[in-house]
Amino acid sequence: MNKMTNPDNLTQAQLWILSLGAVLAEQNNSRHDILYGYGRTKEAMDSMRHVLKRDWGIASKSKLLSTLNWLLTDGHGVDFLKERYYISTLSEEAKNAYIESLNKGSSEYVQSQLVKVYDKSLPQAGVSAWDYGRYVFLCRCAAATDLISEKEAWELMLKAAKLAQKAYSSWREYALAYIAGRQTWLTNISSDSAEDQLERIKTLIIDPNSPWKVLDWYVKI
Amino acid sequence: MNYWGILGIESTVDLKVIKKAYASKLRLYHPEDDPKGFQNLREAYENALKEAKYIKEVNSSNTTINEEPSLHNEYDEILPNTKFDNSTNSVEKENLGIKDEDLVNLFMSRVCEIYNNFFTRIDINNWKGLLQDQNFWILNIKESLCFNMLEFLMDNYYLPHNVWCALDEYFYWTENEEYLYEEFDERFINYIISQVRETQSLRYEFFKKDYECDYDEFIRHRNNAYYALMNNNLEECGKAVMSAMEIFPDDPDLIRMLGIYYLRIEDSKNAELAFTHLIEINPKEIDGHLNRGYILIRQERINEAYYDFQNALNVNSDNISALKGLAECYFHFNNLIEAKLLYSQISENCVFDLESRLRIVEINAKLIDKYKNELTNNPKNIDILYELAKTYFEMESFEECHKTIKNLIKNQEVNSDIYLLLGRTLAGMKRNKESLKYFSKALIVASKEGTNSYEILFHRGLVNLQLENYEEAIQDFSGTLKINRYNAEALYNLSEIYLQTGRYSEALEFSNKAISTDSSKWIYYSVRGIANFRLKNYAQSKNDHAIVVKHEYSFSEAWYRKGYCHLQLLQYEEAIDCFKEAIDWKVEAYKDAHLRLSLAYFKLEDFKSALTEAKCHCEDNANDICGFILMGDIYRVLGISSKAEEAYIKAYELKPNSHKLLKILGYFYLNKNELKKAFQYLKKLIDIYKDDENAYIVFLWLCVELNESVAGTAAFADYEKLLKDNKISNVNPYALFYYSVIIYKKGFKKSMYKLAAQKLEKVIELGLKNGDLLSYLSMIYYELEDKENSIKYAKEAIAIDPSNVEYKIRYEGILQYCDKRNFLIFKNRPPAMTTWPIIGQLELQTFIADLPILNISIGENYE
Repeated sequence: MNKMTNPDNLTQAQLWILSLGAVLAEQNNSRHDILYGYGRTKEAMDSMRHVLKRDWGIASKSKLLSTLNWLLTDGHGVDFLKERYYISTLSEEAKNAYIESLNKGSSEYVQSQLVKVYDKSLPQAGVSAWDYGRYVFLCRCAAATDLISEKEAWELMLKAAKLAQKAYSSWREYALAYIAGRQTWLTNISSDSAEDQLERIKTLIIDPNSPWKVLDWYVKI
Repeated sequence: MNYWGILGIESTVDLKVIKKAYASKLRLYHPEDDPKGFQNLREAYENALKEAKYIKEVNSSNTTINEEPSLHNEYDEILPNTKFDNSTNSVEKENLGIKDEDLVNLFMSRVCEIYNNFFTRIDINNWKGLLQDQNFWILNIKESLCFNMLEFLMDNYYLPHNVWCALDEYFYWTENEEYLYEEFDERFINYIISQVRETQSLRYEFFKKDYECDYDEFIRHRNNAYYALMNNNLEECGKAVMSAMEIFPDDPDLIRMLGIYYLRIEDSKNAELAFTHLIEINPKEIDGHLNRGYILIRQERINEAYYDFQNALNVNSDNISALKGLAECYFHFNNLIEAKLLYSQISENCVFDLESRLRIVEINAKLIDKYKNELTNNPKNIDILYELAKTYFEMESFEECHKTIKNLIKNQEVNSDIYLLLGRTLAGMKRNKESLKYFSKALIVASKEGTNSYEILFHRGLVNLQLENYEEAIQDFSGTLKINRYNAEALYNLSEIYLQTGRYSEALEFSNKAISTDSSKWIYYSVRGIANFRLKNYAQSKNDHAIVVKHEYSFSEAWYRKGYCHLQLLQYEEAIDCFKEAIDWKVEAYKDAHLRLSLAYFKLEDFKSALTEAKCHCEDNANDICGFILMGDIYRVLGISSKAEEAYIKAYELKPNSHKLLKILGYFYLNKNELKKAFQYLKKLIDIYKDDENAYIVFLWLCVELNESVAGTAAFADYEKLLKDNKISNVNPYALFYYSVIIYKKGFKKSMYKLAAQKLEKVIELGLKNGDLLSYLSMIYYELEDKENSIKYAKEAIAIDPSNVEYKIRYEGILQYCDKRNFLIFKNRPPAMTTWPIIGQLELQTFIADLPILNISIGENYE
């Protein structure tokens, strides 16, 4: 991973905010230290527009804003929490009996297994990191494709950042919640899939140049 | 006690067994509170590992060979049939004297009796006694009993789960759910059904007879707390749980809920107290220890947490949360090896737990630092060097691993494990050819050591596969399978090799075996899907690819292949969805996704979308004729002939000698009645391609119509040669018919007329007899002064098509000349062709000149 050089002289808070989307940024070979990390070439912009449309159905500002709002107020994190409230109310014995009673191939079964295994480790916010990370990614893409201005992008991302910083206590916790969220969204409990999720954060967790290593979790934002 | 005894296992060389035993004993010795016990255990573990390494034998992996996964289900318990049997019930007769209503009342009074006393109510035996009482086994009161019971339960519904189940077995509520919903309030029936079906209901077994309180009120509050907690209605939950606690404070279910409630409101102090209370009340249950353990970890009270997890594991040694808690304690104690071992065990048992995988990565990073530190004081320590190399390898830091191994080799005699690690490291560095050298060395040394070559063969196989040394790779993987025939990865890699070498049946066979050994890997389905795809087993391939895209949604090639299968299976809507995904995910291996998508739209008669996609294909593949042909076809269907022509011509310009295009254009113009243009393309076609019988027939027809006798004669000669070369005895009657007309038209010589007449007679022999043919024949006989045949065929022509004016004119003309002069001696009569010229076109053999609606087939391999 390249060392962050911060060519645009972003504040620590701004770098921190961008780092919330570090998993997707890393996956897309984006820089972590500039807002337009994916570049502003026509090709890069076309590619981002394509991704926004393909994965999110976003082609307009209003659709973008409604999607961002959904990510902050509901997202996949809420589904996880609903299941978590149910499962964590049960005793260990009852949890096992409940999960065993479900159809092994069903999404309920997979969700319950995942909720059970992460219930004790994840904070109250559950897997909302998965929503926050994607939120930041969308803002960066939207700014780069001129759906929103740079100023709007920072304002929007700040909202998510404040929630994220309150919800988690470290980059590690955030990272685990992010990939657990992705795993829950995929409803996949195979070993292959688990390995794939881990690969997405491995470098960010151990590389000394990783923004997660460079920036303290409690940077003032 | 020797170290095997300390580990609690028999002497073994299986490292996994040793590690597992060590991991399971870790909870028994606290590293700080019982350092001696912990040290003894660790020494036992290390000694066991050392001994195992020395005596490692070939059959280490054989333990798994005979462990075929069991496919048998547990025996289903056959429950006794509790339904009433009217005919066999002897008691019923004795009860005939008692009125049904009385029996129902009697039953309900006993129900009240049982229910009204709380401790009688929660004892299942009391209910069983009532339900098994044969006095009530009478069919005609059953319905009444059921209704009375339900009415009773509407006001009295606090019963343990086993009582609900017993009542359901007796009254068949869950079997008659629909009926109950019709008769009773929906919420009430929901409650009844949930009480029967919920496997995780609250318990009644902890209530105390000597503790006087309003248990019904307690249960009401407890239930409210339970449902409020499930819905995270914390205010409601708090009120209910506190009210219940005031009534009866020693119910484990309630205390657990209290603890969870405090956790949710982030009051860890009270949560800890609640779980401590839970442990005191019911120490045999895991929940108190587990929850308190995690609270303590968060408070960094690791020592205390350790004991909670230890106790939790004493209750249930397989509990993943407890194992994770214990592992976390070791991590915090900085006992990294032990923590890693435990996390590895958890990862193996719970493959989807990302936290343990993440911790292993973090531990490895710490271990590298630790080993590096240790090496500064003792740089030649081979054990540390080896551990460091292995850890680097696990972290995929191949360069560092390579350096470390080189350093290690300087200081130690090399064993097979080190050569294997070196080979794998070089492979990781993409230095595949070098790596082969070390795998071979590893094999030689392993043979001297008498150790297992299984892993060496497997990893060499992978490198050989990378290097496309397919035969060597096959030998390696086959070698591993001789040692363990259930190695799914080896089976998969073999199928991959066969796929890459075009041996699709073998690829299918091995991928099938890989899947039956381990059905969890999507990549196995991908290989099988491709093998099936190549073998044109589209239905099977489609199913395999459905699994692949479920796991790897962005796998565009898999989407394409799935779409292609759907297209072949005529499932056009599904095909469209798949091709769209393939395009969205930028499929690269297949260039014609837009074309296939267009075809699917075409089949669904969505020609507008088909056109859009065909245009996309043409933009991306400007030199591919298929897109333009398809565009031409679409325009034709849309009735825009000029655009169709433009598209076909564009394709023709790209590939002017294409058989398909020459034919399309020839037939296209033929259908537009632009015969000269049709002639131009078909002439070129038969000049280049001498083997298209239909093209000859159509071309001969064109020669008739355009009076191209020279071209027609040459074409018929080529056609006859084609028949001769292919040893076809039967000439097509139409071809012969058209050729006869060409001869006749070229005519003005008796010998030519005779030849034409002979050939036309032959046509009739071949079974073709139409008005045109007969009319021509009559004219030829007219020229040959054969009155009889001339009149005969002219008449027959009219008989076949009485409405044809030309036939009639000819017939009457011939008759006229017969009447005025003696037909046979008439010398200067006018030639038939000029006297009664043929105005309309000759009949063309109907099917051969049809231009198909679609000229691209869905499974076609394009030119």
